Amino acid sequence: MSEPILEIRDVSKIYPARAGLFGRGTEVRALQNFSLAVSEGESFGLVGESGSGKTTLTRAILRLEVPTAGQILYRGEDVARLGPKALRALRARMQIVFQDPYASLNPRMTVEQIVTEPLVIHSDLMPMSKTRRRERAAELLSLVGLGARHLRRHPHEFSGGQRQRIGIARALASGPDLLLLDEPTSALDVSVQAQVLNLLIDLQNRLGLTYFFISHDLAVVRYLCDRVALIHRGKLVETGPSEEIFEAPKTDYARMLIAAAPEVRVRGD
Amino acid sequence: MTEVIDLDLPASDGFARALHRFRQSKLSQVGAVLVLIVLFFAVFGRILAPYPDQVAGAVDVAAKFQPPSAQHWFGTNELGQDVLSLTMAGTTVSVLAGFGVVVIGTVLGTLVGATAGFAGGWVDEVLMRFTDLILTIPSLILAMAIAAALGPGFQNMVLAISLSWWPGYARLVRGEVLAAREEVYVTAARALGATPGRILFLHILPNCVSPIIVKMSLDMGFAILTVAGLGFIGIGVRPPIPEWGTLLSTARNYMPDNWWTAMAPGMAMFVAVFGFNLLGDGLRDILDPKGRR
Amino acid sequence: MAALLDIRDLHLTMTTFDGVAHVLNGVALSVRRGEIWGLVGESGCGKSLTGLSISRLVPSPPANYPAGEILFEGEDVMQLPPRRMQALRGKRIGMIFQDPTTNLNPTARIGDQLIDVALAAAGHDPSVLGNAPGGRRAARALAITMLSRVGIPEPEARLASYPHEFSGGMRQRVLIAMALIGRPDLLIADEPTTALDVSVQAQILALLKGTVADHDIGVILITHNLGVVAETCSHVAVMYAGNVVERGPVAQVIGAPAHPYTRALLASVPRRETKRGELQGLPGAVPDLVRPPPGCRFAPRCPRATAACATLPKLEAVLPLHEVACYHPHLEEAALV
Repeated sequence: MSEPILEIRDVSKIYPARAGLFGRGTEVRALQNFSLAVSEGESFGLVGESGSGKTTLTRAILRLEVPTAGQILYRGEDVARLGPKALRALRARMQIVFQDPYASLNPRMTVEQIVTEPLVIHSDLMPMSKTRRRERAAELLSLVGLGARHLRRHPHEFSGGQRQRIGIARALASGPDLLLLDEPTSALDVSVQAQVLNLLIDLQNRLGLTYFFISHDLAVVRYLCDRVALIHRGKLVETGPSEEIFEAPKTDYARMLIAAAPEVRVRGD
Repeated sequence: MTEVIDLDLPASDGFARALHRFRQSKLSQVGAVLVLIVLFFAVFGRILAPYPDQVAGAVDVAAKFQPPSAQHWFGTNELGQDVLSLTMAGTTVSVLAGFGVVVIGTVLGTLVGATAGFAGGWVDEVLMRFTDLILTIPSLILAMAIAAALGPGFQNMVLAISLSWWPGYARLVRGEVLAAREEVYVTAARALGATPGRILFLHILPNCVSPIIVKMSLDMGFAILTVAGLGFIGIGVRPPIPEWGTLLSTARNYMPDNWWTAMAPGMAMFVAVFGFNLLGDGLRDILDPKGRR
Repeated sequence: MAALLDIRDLHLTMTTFDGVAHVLNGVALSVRRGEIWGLVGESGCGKSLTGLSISRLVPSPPANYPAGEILFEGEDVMQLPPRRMQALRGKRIGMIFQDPTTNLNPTARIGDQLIDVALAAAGHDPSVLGNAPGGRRAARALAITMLSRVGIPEPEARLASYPHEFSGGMRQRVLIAMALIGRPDLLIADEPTTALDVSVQAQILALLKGTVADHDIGVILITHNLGVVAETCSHVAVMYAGNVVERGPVAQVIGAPAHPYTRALLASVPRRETKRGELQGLPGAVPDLVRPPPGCRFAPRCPRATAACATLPKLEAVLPLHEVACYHPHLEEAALV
């Protein structure tokens, strides 16, 4: 196994208790001594139910939030200690695709503006002319299976699946090597989900991306991911190769989760 | 990649849809027509007035207090001037002043509200408490005080009202900015490494425009009323420049015997306020973000 | 046994900016007591509108029903006067929606909301409260019974709680209790577990199944999750662009799908044995319902389409009870089940 591209070391995030009108609330321990490592080129799945802390972890990795304790390392470098310049450079290399394709695209911008935004923001790292940026946007759109003729349209003219492709194109624009996928298919219909999942696999094969895939859908994680971690109430429950976790879960929680997930099969099989 | 990028596309149908929704609402169409009439007189009122010399200040004392007739549709005033002509010409001042107030108020309010909402923390606290402070003073009285301090005149009047007008916008914009700040696309921009300025001006403010435009339209009527109010109590534009509030104020002295002197300016104000309000409601329907998905 | 609900050739159009959309195009569905029908399909296929039409909850305009019957115990709800329809909704047909938060009044106690529903139901049928003259007291007792039946611990104490004090799963249980309070004969559940975690989803679905067994009611479970259908439903109807294209017992439809669309839908769900990269998507998009393709609406995306598909196929039995609306159904596996 190669050196981890992303390593989470003993991360805790505690939201302090808020003094409310009716006395003090209790502090929320969103993450407790959470550790995991993602190797370059793999698809790593993080599975958890609502309130498990997976959103907090995602935000911490992107440094939209700072953990109370512990470190998040990207290629060995502590994300929390990066200066403004290094942080911006990191953001070109680590990108995210969001769950809701209806909310994650600015409704006032055209597809071209959305997809080229990372190039504009990181123009110091990737100097390009406006024409070149447009060409790059067209390349990105065709990479995700959309035509260049969509460049001047607005998000509301697209279906959910198409919007998610635009979101993926935006995430790929700055040439990242690590992609956080925050439930990218849970708002889509199954037929569209299948297309987007296959697109993600295809992109990974072509571009050598590393995926950190966050989901509550066990079937999707099993389909896409090489390794899986289960998170429950801010703690790591179990981690290992997908096959192992799904076929021989070691913890009760994992067994319960796998048993509860509905499967398409004829009863009595 | 050398492929020629094909950018020719059918025009977005967003405008057509908006027009369609606008057409479905009779009242907002009435509002639009009324506003168009008011704007028309704001531009051409002075030229089209039947007695342009009286608009410029000429008097005809022999013909004073004539009731409405074919010659003077809305009668004449205490100086024998044609009330219709004065009212038509007065549209310019009222609409310009109202527009000026709303625009300056919007700019100031957006500046304060956006800064407060985007910066948060103590900046937000200080700016919003100051805004609340201004809001506690009745706006007309505040405008009067400012106007009295600045002295009479058109510009001072507009400035005075604007300075009492912005807090409403500040509160509106702050709320919108706070809501937009939590949108996923804003998080996406942050994750991309966008600077705060880029986030505010490209991602947040453009998505706050609709409610601001609606409020501007709804406020136009009230701004015109406030301008007239200042004119009425004698702080606004001074005669002989015709202005609705001043006209009404003078007419008040000759009520109820010479009631017609108040008719035309009163009706003009009614039409303007009513029209802008209906239009504002119509715009709210069109720009309703729920309909924009 | 006669059907509890029989929808025949239901058409629904919606007036939109682009023109008249033919949203339901001859929906046919029949539900008996004791059956749980899964209504599946992609978003925009008309499954929710079918459910809402049964309760006449689709606002009109923009909706219009040019043709069709919805027979509830032999009576066409399309013809019922509003007052009787309201009685039917409150008492005979229960509804549960996706989001348990928006369907509870946040400012009223759970108990008061349940009691109000019980009293309203008793207004239509006093036997709901056992014909007891106690009124509010009897309603309260019923509310406690219902809460404990849907598995809420300490139901009596919970009556005083507000909705925000409940978790999502608990709120959905309260809504199920509310829907069952008038002892409905038909329960329509529109994506009742989509917003919930899988562990909670499993509990809610088990509760639904238990309710059908205990009270001998009919259920329509609207969902996009084929796994939920496979594990919960006795029957399934697959909808595409306003048509029921295949219907029948779950084992047959899921085990041996005959309609190309059903097959495509099933092939796009990742399963235990699906290898990475081998998932089949469904190319193309749902048709524009203002200008739908003539005949079979799936034809433009269908690998088996021929010229014959330009006329609308009718539901025909490929096996007893298993019906398909297709000229070129897959019959190879159907024979094996």
